Amino acid sequence: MVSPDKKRVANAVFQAVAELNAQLPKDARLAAEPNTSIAPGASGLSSLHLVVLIVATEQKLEEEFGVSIPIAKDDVLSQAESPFQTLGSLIEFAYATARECIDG
Amino acid sequence: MDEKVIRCVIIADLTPNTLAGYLENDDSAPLIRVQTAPFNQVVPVIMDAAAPCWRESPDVAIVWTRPESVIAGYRDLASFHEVQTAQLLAQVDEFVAALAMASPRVRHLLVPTWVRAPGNRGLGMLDMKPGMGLGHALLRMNARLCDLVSGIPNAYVLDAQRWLGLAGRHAFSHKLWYMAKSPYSNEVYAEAARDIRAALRGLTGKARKLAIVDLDDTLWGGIVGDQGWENLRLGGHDPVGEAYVGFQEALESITRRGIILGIVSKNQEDTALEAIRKHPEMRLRVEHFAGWRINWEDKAKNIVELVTELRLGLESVVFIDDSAVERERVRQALPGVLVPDWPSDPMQYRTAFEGLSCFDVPSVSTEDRGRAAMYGAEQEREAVRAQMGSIENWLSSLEMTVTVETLDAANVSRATQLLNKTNQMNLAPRRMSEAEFNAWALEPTHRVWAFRVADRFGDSGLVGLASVTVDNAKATVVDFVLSCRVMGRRVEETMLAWLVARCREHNVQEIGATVLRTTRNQPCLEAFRRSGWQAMGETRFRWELDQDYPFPETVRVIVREVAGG
Repeated sequence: MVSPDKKRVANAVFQAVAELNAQLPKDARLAAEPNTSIAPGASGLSSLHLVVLIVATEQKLEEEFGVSIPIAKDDVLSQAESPFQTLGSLIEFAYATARECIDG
Repeated sequence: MDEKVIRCVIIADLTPNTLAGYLENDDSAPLIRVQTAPFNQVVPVIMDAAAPCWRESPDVAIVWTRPESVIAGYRDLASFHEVQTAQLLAQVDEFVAALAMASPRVRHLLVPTWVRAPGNRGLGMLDMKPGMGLGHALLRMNARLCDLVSGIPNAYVLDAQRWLGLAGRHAFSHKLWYMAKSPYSNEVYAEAARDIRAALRGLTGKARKLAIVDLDDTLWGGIVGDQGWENLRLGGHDPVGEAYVGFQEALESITRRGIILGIVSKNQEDTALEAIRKHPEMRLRVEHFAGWRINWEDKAKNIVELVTELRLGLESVVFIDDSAVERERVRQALPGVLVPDWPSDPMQYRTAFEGLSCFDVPSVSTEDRGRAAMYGAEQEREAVRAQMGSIENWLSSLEMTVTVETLDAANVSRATQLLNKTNQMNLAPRRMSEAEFNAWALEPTHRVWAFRVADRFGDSGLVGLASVTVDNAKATVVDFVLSCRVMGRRVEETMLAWLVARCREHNVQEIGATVLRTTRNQPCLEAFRRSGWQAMGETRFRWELDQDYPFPETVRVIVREVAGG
């Protein structure tokens, strides 16, 4: 198990973005940048796309850090202030969750 | 279906959007447009010809199901109820019967095998026990599925287990299932899309036919010109040497499924050929290669020359070279040639080669299995041609026979393959499934003949196809198709003479043909211009049947089973 740093978390998120982009039309693909919106509707993504992105991110995080880092939790998904607004907020949330899981 | 967008419907009991996304948003051929049937309505949709998904007449249907969803006995077995194998298989039979009802609505039907989550251990040590284990049940169900689907002429089973295997331990996700009713990871859908795309390329005659390989550090380790063939790294008690042999074995294997091999290498030709002939560990010998360009010229130029000699198109070619520089040169100069990335480790060569999805075809005919030998015979013919003076002397020396057959169960598969793969000598290219072509041939006003060609050097197999529609006193040629392997040997004239003779017997007064020009069928237009048929403009030709059209003297015609023709 490796201690998380934000750069590696961001890399995991961007790998998941690349997988999602392969499923999207060229003009709908996400830029791998922190301010890219991922909120369903506003960003052009469907709620299914968002689920695919988040679950793929979990998989990449597990591959990167060797431990399950669950970010697609029901209580998070139903939050009024969802952390899944932009890639930047997703990275922040994934980083915080990774620290909880790894460093306690 | 050729050179246009393929319309595809996915009928599934899982959310098909991820697969649809991968299929639609890949730039590689063929382009695919997807519509999806309602979630989890598989059997009702495939049994209902009026279901909305059939209205746009899709070209292809993909029916992807989970075993617990469509086979009730499997669902019970998964809960450790007792279920007899015969009961499971009867339910598979019912499912395939429903598939058979849907198959006439599309040109091609693709059915992934049933899989289960790799993490599901079932009954552990009892999981492969007949009548108990899920693993055993799934094996039997899939075997039954394959056996029965093979009886549906336009249907093919795809191996979904391979997709899960490649995707690894994250292949199946309960989380994705609960959140999105989509049980597999992106990698599974990406692999599925890759296989589906490969199948569609094969079904539309776009599979690659020629693998051109480099020599030094590709077929063997080392530089033969520097080291001599005796010192090459090939075989022996050496993992890298064995890896080169393994790669050669994989290349030799594909020659038995209709792929031909060529060499393009920067080397001295005599030095390289000596290595191929003399090295005791070589699996590939000179006779395995249809042709080569071994010299110091630009490889892109050499590939063009070799492909021209073999009468193939650049779209038929895969080029394999260990040098990234040479690969990039060929990619840039010849974008139609497939140049796969190649591993730097020779022990990965065989894996890289066996993972290529560009060779998939819907059937492998006797002609395919003997294609490498046919090219060897062609080299002998060309050697004789070089010695003979006139073309007529050469043609006479070949002792050619053309055997004419009507379309029947024994030849329809190869005839359809020829129809779908031939581009150059093809009057008006059309792509049809075997079932479609067979049905077309059975129409009372349609006539189809297949032509086999042989000579003293070998049997080229079924290489020609001609069809006409007859409307009272006038016949129209619909298909005039000839493999490039036998072009220019008077087979074209033999086929035209056959059409004239047969139409005269049916009291037809005139026969006409129109060349539908494509980027590649100029040879067909030239053949008609040379034929002596009367030109009625740039692309239309006719022959009045009050005159004979002579059979070439250099060809002996054998007629087989033409009673229905």
